[in-house]
Amino acid sequence: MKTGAEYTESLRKLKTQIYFQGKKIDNMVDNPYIRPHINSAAATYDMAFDPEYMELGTATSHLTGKKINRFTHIQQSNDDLVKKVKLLRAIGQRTGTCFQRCVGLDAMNAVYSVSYEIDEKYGSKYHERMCDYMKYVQENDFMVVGGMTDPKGDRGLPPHKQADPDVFVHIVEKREDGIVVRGAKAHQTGAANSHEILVMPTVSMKSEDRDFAVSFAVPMDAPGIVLIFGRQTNDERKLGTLDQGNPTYGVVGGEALVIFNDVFVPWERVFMCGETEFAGMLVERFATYHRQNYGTCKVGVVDVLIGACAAIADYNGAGKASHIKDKLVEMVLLSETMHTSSLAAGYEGHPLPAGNYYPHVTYANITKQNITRNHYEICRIAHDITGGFIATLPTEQDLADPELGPMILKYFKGVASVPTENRIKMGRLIENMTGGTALTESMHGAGSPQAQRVVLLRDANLEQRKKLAQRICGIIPQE
Amino acid sequence: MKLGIKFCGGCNPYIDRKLLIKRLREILDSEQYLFKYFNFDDCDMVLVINGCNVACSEAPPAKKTITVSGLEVEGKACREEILASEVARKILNGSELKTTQF
Repeated sequence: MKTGAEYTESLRKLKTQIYFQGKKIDNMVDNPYIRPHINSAAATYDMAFDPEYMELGTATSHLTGKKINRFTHIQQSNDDLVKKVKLLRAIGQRTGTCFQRCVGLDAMNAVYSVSYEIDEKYGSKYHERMCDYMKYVQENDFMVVGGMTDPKGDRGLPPHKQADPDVFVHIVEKREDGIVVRGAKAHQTGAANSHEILVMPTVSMKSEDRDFAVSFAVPMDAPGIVLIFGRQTNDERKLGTLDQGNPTYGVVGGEALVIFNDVFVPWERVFMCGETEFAGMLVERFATYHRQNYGTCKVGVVDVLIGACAAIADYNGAGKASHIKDKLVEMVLLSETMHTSSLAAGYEGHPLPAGNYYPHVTYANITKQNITRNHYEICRIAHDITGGFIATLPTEQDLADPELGPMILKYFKGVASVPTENRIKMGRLIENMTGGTALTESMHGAGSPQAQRVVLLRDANLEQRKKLAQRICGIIPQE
Repeated sequence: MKLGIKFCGGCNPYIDRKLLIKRLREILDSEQYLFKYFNFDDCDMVLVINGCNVACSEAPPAKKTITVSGLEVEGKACREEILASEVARKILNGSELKTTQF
């Protein structure tokens, strides 16, 4: 296993092609726009060594019997599914933001399971390759980004009918030694600071889409891969400290557009190649694993936010007001509601044909659906409690100015016992945790709300529920 | 005396577990008590620190143990301010310790 420092240093060896603000970033590790996201991902490494967290942070590989970081583990039981979500909450409490690494974990579990089922049907060797790949990832304790979301172009058309086929990753050449792929994956959380990318299709497909039904893994610095790092609402603040709110770990995960310009993939890293009937299965497997997570990483982050709101209420002199307490209770209610469904999805998981465990589909989707609502409401309450000053605070440069600083400290003072700077720090933390990129990520990460509702309707079992009612009111006989 | 410290995973601790250890270190004679966080085989006793009363961390087998579960020591309520002193009292008065049976 790697420590956080070893992980960070390992990134220096990569030759990942990253661009931001029109310039190539040659040193991502020391780049102020990317470094906070690296620090956050590093927490997933450090917590595996910390006695306080190692019971959750590590697991035993079913492939090698070795102790591994839980972020490289193939889920072997419902207990594993529960430990996964408990770990995510613990890390969220430490970082107060996304730590990115669960995307790859879920991708690996999804591909592990579906490759087995493709092999069952076709006698292919995908699962064997995936097992070899997992050993490689576990041995090197790699951070893997799960690449699912294609740019998608015209949302009303399947991949093969797109005016530009490159809006879905697809195979452009099959060679004796591997395949060549072209296209892009959008919104890739943690891609810049990952060692590998594991690509999956993003939609269900029919036979005409066979060139788009492809799953593979390549190093992030493979020739032909280009990353364009996405801007965030707080970009400029990353050049300072106080105004970032969370200067060490940043806001959300640091997303990038990952472009595959005719990238070669050797056969031993190809896990699906044209088996279109398994594309939808792979999408759903990944989505379910990942939707379960949202009721826990976000809850860890909200734990920090609730604490920040309780503290700012004290700093404002309003901590004892009954309406403030009631709003804090509401935040807890909304947050723990999200967490309970996440835990339930783990406790009610079941084994897949490949042997790895899979969360309860309905509960996982309910978890994510609740996030798209509850997180916004939690942030609304946070703004309510905090007060309008977080929208109008002067900059940290003004605070540092010898003439302006004392005036800011004087007029932004809350209760006498609390230094004004602490009130400003806490206000900035709340501001950065509750606006802009952070909110949109809650809405669309792991699939937009409608995607969950489609699954919920499909699995609602309405016919059986109709029978329950028909029996009770005497339309059909009681058994 | 080797004192094993076994933490639960810490998903949502109700107590400051690091602070508990810090206070315990202040109370117990550092020359007499060696704190160990891994490999409890040669420990004379093990302190199991759960962050809450779900108490998901199991005690190692056949060891004298003290279990903290959030704001409880051995199932009895205890304020956080006196958690360390209560645990230290039990350690120093070894006759109160339980031995885990398997």
